[in-house]
Amino acid sequence: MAEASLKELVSLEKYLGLKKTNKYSTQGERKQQQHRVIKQGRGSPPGSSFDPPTPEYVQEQQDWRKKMISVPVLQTKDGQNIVGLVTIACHLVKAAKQEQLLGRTREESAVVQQWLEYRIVQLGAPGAKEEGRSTLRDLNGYLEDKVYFGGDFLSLADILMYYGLHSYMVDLTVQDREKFVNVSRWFSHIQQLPNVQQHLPRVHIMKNRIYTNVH
Amino acid sequence: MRLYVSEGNPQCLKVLAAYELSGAQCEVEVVSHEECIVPFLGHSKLPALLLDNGNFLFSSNVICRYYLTSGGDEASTAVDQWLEWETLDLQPVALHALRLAVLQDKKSEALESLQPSLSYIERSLQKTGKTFLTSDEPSAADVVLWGTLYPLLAEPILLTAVDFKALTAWFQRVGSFPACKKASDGTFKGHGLQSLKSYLQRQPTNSTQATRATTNDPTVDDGDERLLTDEEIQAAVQAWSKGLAACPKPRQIVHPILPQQGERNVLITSALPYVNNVPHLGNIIGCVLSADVFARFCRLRNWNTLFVCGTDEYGTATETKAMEEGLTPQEICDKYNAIHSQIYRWFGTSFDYFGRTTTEKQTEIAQDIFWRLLKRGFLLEDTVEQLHCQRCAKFLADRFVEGICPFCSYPEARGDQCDKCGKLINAVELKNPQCKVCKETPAVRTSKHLFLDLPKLEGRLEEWLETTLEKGNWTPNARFITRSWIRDGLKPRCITRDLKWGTPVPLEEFANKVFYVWFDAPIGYLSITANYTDQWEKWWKNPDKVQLYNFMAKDNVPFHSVVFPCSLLGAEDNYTLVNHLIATEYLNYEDGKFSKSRGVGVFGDMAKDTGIPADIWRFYLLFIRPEGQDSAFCWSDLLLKNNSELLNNLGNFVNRAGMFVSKFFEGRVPTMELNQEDQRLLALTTWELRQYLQLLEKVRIRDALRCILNISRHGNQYIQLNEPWKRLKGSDTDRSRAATVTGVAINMACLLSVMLQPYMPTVSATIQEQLQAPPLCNVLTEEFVCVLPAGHKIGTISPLFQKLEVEQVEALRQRFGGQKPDKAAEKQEATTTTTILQDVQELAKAVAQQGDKVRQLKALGTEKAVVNSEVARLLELKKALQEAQGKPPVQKEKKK
Repeated sequence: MAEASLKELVSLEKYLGLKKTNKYSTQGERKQQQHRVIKQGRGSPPGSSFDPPTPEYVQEQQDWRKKMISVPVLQTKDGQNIVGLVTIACHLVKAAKQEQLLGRTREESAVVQQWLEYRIVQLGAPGAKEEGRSTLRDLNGYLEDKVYFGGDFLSLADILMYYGLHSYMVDLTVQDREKFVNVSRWFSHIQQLPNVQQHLPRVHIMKNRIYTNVH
Repeated sequence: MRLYVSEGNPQCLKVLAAYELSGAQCEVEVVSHEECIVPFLGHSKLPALLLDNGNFLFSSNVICRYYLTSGGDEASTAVDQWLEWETLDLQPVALHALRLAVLQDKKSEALESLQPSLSYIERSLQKTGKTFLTSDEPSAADVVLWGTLYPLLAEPILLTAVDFKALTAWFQRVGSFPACKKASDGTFKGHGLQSLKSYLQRQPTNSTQATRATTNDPTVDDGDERLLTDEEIQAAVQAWSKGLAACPKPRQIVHPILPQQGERNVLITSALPYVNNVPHLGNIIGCVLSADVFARFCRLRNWNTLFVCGTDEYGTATETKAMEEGLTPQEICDKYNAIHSQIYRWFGTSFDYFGRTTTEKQTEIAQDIFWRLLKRGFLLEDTVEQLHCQRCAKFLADRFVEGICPFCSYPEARGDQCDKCGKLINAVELKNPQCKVCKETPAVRTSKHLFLDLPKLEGRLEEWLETTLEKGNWTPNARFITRSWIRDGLKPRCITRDLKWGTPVPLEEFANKVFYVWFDAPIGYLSITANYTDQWEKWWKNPDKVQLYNFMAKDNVPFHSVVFPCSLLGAEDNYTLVNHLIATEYLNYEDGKFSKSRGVGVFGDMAKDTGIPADIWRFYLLFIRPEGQDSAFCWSDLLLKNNSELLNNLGNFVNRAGMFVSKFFEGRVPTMELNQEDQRLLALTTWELRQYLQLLEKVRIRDALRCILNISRHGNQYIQLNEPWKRLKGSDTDRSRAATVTGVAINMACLLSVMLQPYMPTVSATIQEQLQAPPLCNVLTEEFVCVLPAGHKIGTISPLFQKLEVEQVEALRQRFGGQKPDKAAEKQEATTTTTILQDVQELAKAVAQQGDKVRQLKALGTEKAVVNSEVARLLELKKALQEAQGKPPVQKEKKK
């Protein structure tokens, strides 16, 4: 999960046009190393006289990794650690002097914060995918009369929600994409914005309805 | 603007506090928990704030932040970070803790589960030294964290129990704002935590935090995670190269061990096991084994350590047992003392002395303390009505009387309780009482007894406790139980009994009486030490130079933290009182309780017969040690931990490191040239080592064991990544790389053998023998030193652990599952059905989990071989489930 969030942060940097790339880790850099090891360990049987790791062992390691790799950390130039996806993302937006992405008024910024929190609580939690459909239903209702999550302006919430929802959208059938029409419309809109869709493949969303009788 | 809240919703507390603090004006509407206020959410979410622009805020933290940031000022990154941490880390933990505290009434467990989060806040506050979390001014972060913690810490008793100074000060500072006071009064309305009950009952239980009542997985404190700095790496490299010669030598132990001037003198006691029965695994892990790990650790740290224990032998229960077995009490004690010693010896406990309470020293010391208390006026005399049997010529203990229940007229009610109506009975109230031994009707007689005047000693006790709890290392449950006892008020406690088998009361008018065991037994620690050395007073009357650690299960806490200290304080003889009180929770057996009478569970003497080595027992019992909350001994888990942690992780690493040296380098440790990766590994290992030392110093035995397994895990990955067996066939640089990796790995194995010693002494010795490790390496310092230099010759390497097979363990589970044909069959049936039911549930859960795992692996595009083996496991589980559900295992035969 943290790997995904690291990619996400790098993509955000690019979107914001930040030139100097930052130094990231997850909490405890060694965990990245662990990941590498597992990939290698799986593929290569270590010599004839030594048994390859058993499946339970690999599983154990993966569980362990899942548990340990969790929170992204940004190390700033003055040696401070900034911890947490949303915290880092907001920090980057400010560093890029694009504060309008956090909302222009008090109300707007509260709404942006609301959806940023929703992103990490609802879309990041273990088991979130099982509740995916009810999440999508809620979002579909919310977006019914809105262009962006903030209402009528593009914000950081749209970008992080886009990264967060990407895997959900990939999994949806064409029919479901049509069912959650407002989410799909918003999603398709965001992924077409310049520089947003960095590390993620494009999700195809049809403009014409083919399951008209469903609604 | 309109704010929607519901009553008794802990999330609303911080929002109301922030609202009050901001001075904003808006309508506040109280709605029911189920009300769906936010139109687009398919479920109710409260609190919620309707903004003037028609938008809804439905997260308590965002609402707080909205109220507390005025106009244009941006919230700082520090506030962002606290709020994100609170949302993702603290909230689930706090919800879990509230559930424990309110719905299950397990306050001390609730507090324990909160411990890592609280210690994270404490460390942050200490580090910044600011008045509030982010600066010297309060921010949304302070209100939010305060609101989340308030329900859990508000009761003064809980706050004093957590023992975090900066946190406590901060918490009280925030709580003293009038706005916060108003909000908390409004939320709780004087009903305390109970006002949250209906809210909590509605919350779904599948929160991320484990909500099971018992858990065998130690919590990982992520707060301690960090990046390795260059300095750390440099320091680790330097320490590595200094060699064994520069390290401290192991301490020579000369008996009798006595406190030494200028040294750290550690006195360790394990609760004295009661002699009338064979101890079960729960007893063993609760005191003896835990104390043993700590004692071994102290010795490895070169601290001057004395570890004593013995059997507690006096009392009614021994007399009863003697009557049952047709022996004298002394014979019973001799018999069971031998059984106990034998069991503990088999488990490898390293007592410096294992004694007993039926000795002359016991009489001498107990009577001395008694005289001192009497002379100082701390004993009271009072009369008690008791049943006396003429024919047996003695007062009858409650369990020696039977009669008609005064409440329900059940004819066979016991002296303490009626089996039919379940009411507690005072023995003198029984109608037609009978002596259980001779069937004679006993008469009511008054008997004079002595009482320890605890109320008179309360002042001294509190004074002592205040400093001790502050400096000492007490488990949260020990703190909590002690505080509750004192809060409920102390009453005089009877210290004498009408019995023969005990330490005699040295007063003529009490000629036929002995001391009550709770007064007598803790004195056993002193008398057992006195039987070990004449100079016992150097340990027990030397509070300035000795640190005393008491290990026990939680039911024993009040006697060690309140009653016994009162005896010693009242005796005024400069006694060493307990500094550190380490109490465990309970160990269950396969989701039930150990029961000797039903034959359920493994008892000390049977462990040997299972064919599983003592060190494996030690490992598993310590791995699931009920630290912080109850845990359960479970056969399938034992198998899993043995095969995954010991065999595949630890054993695999040590074995591979050794095999590389013996196969590829003719049994000699090769030359090592460290590159950056190796240096990082040294630093990482050092970090885990220090973590281990810190945890064990705080007696977090179970957590420290994790560090050992982490190191071997790192080691395995290191070998796997560098593939020395391949590089050996490569270029010169490849070969030298293989040599370095092998050399570093074998030294890690050696370090592991030392760290493992407190947990698995035999395995530790085996590793050291295989590596031919110098005996001088058996000292634990904060550094990872290369003790097996290039050229060191190692011995013969062989596997350390054996795989446990499912059939083998299943057979054991059946054997100890409580089938006893001679007992009432009805009861048996009931218990077995429930275990089967639990099995079915467990299996169904396992099937579901395994199914998810397979789907995940497939989705990730994992290699076929891995997926296939996982699928095979899934099929196995499904089959087991069918069998457990009572479907005939036909498929098994079909398959063949």
